Amino acid sequence: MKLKKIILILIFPLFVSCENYLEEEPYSFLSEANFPEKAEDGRIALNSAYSVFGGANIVGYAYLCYSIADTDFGSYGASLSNSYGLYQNFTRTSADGFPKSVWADLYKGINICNFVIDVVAEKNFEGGDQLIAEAKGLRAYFYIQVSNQFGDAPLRTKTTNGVGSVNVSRAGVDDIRTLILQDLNEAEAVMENYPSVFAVQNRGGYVTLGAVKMMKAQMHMFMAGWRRSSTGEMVAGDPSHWTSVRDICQEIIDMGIYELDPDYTNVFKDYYLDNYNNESIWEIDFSMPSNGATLPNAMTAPPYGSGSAGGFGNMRTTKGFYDSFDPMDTRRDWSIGQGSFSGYTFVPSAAIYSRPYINKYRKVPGNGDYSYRTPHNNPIYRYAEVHLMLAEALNEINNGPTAQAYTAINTVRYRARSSDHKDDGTVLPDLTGLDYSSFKEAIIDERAFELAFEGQRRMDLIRWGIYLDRLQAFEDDLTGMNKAAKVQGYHMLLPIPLDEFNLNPDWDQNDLW
Amino acid sequence: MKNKTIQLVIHTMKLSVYVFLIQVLALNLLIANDTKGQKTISVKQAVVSVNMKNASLSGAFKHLESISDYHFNYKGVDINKHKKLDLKFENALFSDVLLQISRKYKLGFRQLNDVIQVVKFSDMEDGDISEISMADVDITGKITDENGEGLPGASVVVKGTTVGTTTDLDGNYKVSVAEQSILTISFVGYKTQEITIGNQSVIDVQMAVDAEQLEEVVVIGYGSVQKKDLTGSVASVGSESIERINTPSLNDALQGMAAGVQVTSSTGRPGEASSVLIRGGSSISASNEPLYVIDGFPQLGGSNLDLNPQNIASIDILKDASAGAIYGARASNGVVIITTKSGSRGGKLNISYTGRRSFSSIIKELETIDIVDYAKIHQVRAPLDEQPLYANPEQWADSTSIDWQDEIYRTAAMQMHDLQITGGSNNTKYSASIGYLTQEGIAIGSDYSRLNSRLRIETDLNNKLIAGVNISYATDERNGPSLNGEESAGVFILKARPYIPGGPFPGDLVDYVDPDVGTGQTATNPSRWLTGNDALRNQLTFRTINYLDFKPFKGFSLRASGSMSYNGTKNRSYLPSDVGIGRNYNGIANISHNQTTSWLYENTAKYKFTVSNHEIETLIGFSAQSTIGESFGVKSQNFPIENLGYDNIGLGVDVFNPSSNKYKSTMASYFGRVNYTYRGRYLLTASVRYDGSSNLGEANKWGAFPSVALAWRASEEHFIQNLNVFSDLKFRISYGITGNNSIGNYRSLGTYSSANVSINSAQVLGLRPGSMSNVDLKWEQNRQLDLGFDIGVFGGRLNITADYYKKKSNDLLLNAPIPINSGFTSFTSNIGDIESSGYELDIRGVVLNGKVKWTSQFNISFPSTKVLRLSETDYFFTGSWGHKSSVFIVKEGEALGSIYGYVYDGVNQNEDEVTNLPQFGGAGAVGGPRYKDISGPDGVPDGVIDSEYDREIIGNGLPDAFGGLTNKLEYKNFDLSFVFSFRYGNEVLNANKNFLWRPNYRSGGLKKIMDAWTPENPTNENWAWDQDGIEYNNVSSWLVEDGSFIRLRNITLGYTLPSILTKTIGIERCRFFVSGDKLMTFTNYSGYDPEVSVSSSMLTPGVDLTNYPNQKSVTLGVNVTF
Repeated sequence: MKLKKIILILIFPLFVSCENYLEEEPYSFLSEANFPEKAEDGRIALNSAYSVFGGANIVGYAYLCYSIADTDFGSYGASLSNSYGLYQNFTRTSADGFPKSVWADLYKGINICNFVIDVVAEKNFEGGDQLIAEAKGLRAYFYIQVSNQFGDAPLRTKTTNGVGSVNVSRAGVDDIRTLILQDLNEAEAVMENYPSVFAVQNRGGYVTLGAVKMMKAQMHMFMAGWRRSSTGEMVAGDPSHWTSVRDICQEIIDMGIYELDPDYTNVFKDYYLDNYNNESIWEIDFSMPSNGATLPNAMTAPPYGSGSAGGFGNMRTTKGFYDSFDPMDTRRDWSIGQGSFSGYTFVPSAAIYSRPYINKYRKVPGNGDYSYRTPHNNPIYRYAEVHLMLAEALNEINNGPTAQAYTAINTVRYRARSSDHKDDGTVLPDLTGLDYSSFKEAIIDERAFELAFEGQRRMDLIRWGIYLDRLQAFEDDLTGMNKAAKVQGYHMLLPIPLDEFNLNPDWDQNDLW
Repeated sequence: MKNKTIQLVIHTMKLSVYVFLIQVLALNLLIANDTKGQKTISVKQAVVSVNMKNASLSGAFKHLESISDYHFNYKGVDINKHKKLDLKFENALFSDVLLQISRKYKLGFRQLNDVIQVVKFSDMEDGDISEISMADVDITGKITDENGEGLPGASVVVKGTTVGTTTDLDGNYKVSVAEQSILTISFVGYKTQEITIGNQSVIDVQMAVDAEQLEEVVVIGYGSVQKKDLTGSVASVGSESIERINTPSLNDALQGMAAGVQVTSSTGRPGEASSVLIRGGSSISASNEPLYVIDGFPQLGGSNLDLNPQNIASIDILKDASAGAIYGARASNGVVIITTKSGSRGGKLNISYTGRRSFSSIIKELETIDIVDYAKIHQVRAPLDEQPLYANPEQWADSTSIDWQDEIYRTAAMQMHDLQITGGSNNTKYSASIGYLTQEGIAIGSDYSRLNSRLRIETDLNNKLIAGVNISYATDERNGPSLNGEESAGVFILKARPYIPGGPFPGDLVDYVDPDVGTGQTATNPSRWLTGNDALRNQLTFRTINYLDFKPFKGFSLRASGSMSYNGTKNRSYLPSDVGIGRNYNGIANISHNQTTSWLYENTAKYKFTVSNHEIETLIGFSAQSTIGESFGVKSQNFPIENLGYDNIGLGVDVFNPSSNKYKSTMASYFGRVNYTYRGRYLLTASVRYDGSSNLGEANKWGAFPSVALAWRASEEHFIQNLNVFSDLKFRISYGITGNNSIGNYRSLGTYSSANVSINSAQVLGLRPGSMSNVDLKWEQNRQLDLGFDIGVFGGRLNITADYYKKKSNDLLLNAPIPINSGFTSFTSNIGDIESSGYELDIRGVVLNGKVKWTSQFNISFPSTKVLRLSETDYFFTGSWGHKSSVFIVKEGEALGSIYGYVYDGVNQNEDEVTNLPQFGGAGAVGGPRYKDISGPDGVPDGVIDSEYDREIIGNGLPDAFGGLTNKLEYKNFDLSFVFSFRYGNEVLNANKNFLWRPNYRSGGLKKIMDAWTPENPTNENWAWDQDGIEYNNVSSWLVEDGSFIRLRNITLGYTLPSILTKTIGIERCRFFVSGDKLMTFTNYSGYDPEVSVSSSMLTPGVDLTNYPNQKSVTLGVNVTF
């Protein structure tokens, strides 16, 4: 009897609560069992798609460094030993970390968009169509980057779920572009139904109707120009796309909600101060102190001292580019920091360095003084570019500038003049009397002046078909760099990251990589 | 699915309860007959009535047994005589009956208690008067051990009979025997002695330790066996070896001591434990750490903090599947069973104190450049306008250079104090210990202290119930930053410039503005970095083990036990605004706290019985356990007021989001084992464990882990014994399956991870898919075959144990890389197989056994691993340092730990070589490095060095062989021991060369820099200085060095004061010793120490990236026992 009692005592506790004993209960994260449950959850999921921009490989310092280095006005910073320095030096390989992180962030973003599109449709949340439209707009942006940077690439439209969906083959650029335009058209159609949500100047970094239209216009612009294929050919564009570029630019202008800030520098000050300027069509938000901060100024501006506005100066420009500005062009001294900072005050230096500092992402008073990072928002689309695109489209369509084309480009030039030289005709005079090629030359220069260091130049040079010419003509004054001698046609695309290539043995690497 | 699992669980539980009850009942019945009381009535007094006709002798004995309380023992006497017997007695004395039998069969009888021993009188004539001898002598005495302590439980048996008794708690015995008998006295671990009684009535015997140690007891899972009865492969390390180690880390005690156990002490950072790898690795991504079992309880997470080596009685390492399988799903990396010291019932109070004081210093200093070298480099490397600063290098010859290693590394002191009390009363045994240590790190700014204590009490509640508690408590504190990594003090120390014009000097403890250039860049002063970087870690471990043993009858025991443990770790750091990246953020403070709380509930039932020549021991049991871990962390930066640091983290102006995390993991298990021995020669062990773990996928929560082992003790066979060669000869074979569930929590679930976004001028929450779910996730499974033999020759003075094993790990959990265009980087599933195999040899000998006692032990292991299968691709890369990833490769058909890179092919000596030989990336320079052109897209060398075709395996961080040699000598009161450990055939990836062989005009570096290539010095060893733009970070064979070494791990000289001297002042024993650790290392490795590894992963061993260097030390100590 006693024995039995003891045995029971020994055994009994195991029968208590053995149900669910081995079930895993996550405490600190959400799993498929409980997310997403409602429309707000869908919003939270879509938010995370914007987080990939924080990796600075799609926008931000890493992307800017690379996209500036690969142009006719980018020169190297002091340090070549860091990873971006190595990348700038055209000793790139597919094993480098940089193309891999660009690729990874783009596809991470795509997967999140796919996830939102799938799950919102499946759960039929109220207001889900808005979420899907925004996700499609964002997905289109990622795919524009994918096809521009890498050429042929996997085309994923469903969220990856399970091992079976892991490996896919590369789709052609044309197929990717088809999806981009389809996404953008669908997004546009929905967004136009919600003007109070989407047809506003900006939504503080979210994709808007204006951004979607801008992507569309840009996509058509790329489709009208040259590209390098993954197999190594230069593929000519279809000029008929210029009509779409023109029409969409006109639509954006007709929205009537964007305007050029009379002061060029205000636009960038507002980026730093988190004021959403009416010129900004889409910008990527960065803030201080803890989350999502980035380093464009650290990479570009003159070396800092405590309490000053500078950065590290790891990416620079050339004296030639500096000199090509009109001295009274307000864009020159904001974009290029030939001098140093005394606090927030920029003191231009007398002597011109051969490699002046880039200064567009400098700090301004009013949003804290961070010695290392910066809350500077990153411009993606500015209204000024709409005018330049319109001007270029009209020149292409009519094989020469029209009056409207002159108006468009001169609007941008007018704003760039310093306030006391607006109309005296000595500074950046209005363009007039140009033929097709000289107007195109003017566009090529004007885009450099207006959009310098904003990440557009590299793709511009490629679509104009002058990337190799311009880089091979580059006068490099830094010993050992020799950009002009090292650049090759295959540099127009990034290599498929080696690891990715290893996992997809049937893929072919981009030509010559 | 879920219901099915639950049903299965309940069903299994019920089943095992029934089995348990049936077993208990059956045993009860079996034993029921055996409950006779002691009868000591003399045959000359006992009265019987017998009536038998024509009976056989054996029949007569049986009949007499049935009508009396006596048993006949006729072992060795032929009783199958043809003579038939008639017996007819009525109320006669039993002795008269025996007398009649005696006469007829010429047999004599002796009564020994209730046993009647039958003896031959072969020389007697028929009809002669025979003899009935009686047990008429009472012998008493005391059996003592080698120290004169009473030896409880020793067996005192009359030779040639089964008659006898065992000693009581004090070692006393009392037995009634016939005169002229011979007593055989035996006890496990001692030499059996035979004493002729003669006419003595008090016989005290002091036992001598058996040199053969065949009777040594080895602790296995849920019990212990005599070493001779061991069927599996188990390595044991005794307290003598453990105590000798002068470091706080338990694992250090194992280095070089046991075959198949590879211990790596890769860092000299105080408070860091060495890593232990048993029989190579069996996993790619799950843990390769063995399971630790402390006083019978599997460790439930947390640290080994409470395990003070001085407090450990023995360590037994279960290596093969047979030994380990009783721990089922956690045993595939081997099991380390730790038994702490305990008292003994009736033992006398024993107080022992050991004190140590050691002095440590860096194991080796590296030669660095001086100011003249610095100036020479400056001449070549600095920009033109800065070069005049050091125009004439030789003019600096008289200036004092700073050797930063001298500034940073010091002779560090350590104190260890350990106090231990053991003892017991008649029904209780106890032990208590307390240990305290303080240790300076050899690098300034680092130190460590630890306090730990343990209390064990076991008491008999009554003659059937025993209760025990085992409580340990330990805290420690570690101070000082890590020196690991590319951006750490380890680098700063070697890269700091040897000269700072005008100061500040190391002792000024401020970072200095680089004086040579006008950029105002601040350079890191390593002294300041180490002393200013306030990093503090505190740990606390509390563990309690409680058990109740119920022993209702002989051979049977039930144990119910429970254990709880708590482990807390608190990390705090403050990086001031003038140190490192603290400058960029104006001070950074971090606080994090992790804790795990666990409980374990476990029941076992054991029954051991003998049926004639069959010895059977059975065990069944079940256990359930649960671990909850929680952590939180806060961070802030930008401190206007700095002097409070992390103690007031709220003073930081920029506060980061706090973080917290919680997890829970549970296990439930059923297990059983049978040990069967036939005639002490044929041994069988079979065990099975059925484990359920929450970590695994919904579909695969449960797994079974069976094993079986056979052993043949050939030395027990007559034909072997007749050879008179072997004192021991045993052959073993075992096969079994173990598992590894150390795969982390929640790995099977699809999860969302947070990705907060700054948008619309605000921080908003974002959640994105973080991992894909895998409901099929299951254990890693490890099938292991072990073949071994044990040989003892020369009367047990030479013992050899050899083992061969082959393990195949299936279903390896692989966080396998998947194409990142999927949006994920990896997917966790069971897709790998690896195979490891090896030979192990252990030789122990008593070289001298006279006045000088000399024992020697040597062991060596030859492990190898091979990857059999991976995911869809047949390889993946792992490991990284600095800007380089893909340093190691895990590839089908290759060993783990394979270093992957270019094959260094020397320096380009001239323009011809640059143009004509393949160059990295297609471009090279005179004086620059060149690599071998291994292949190309067409499978043949293509003249270009690229990452895809021109890398190969250039080394392996795991050794081909390792082992140790231990010698112990004793002469009079002196003892001397020395331990060598060695490793052979492993390569070290000396990543430091990248930083330290490359000159930079504003930093220091290794002296080796000065041997760089120049046209005048056409070396191929180190390329030229002025090679900016050359990719010098490549992982190549240039960085790979041989890491083989032989090390004098420990040497100890001790002197024990004569006991005559000490006993007068009440001291039982007093020993002084001086000891040296790692005093000598023989190696070709050029860095600090070849036993280096910045990561403890099996996949990335042997990377030297400015570790906290190892230390060597000298220790003085005293051990006093009262």
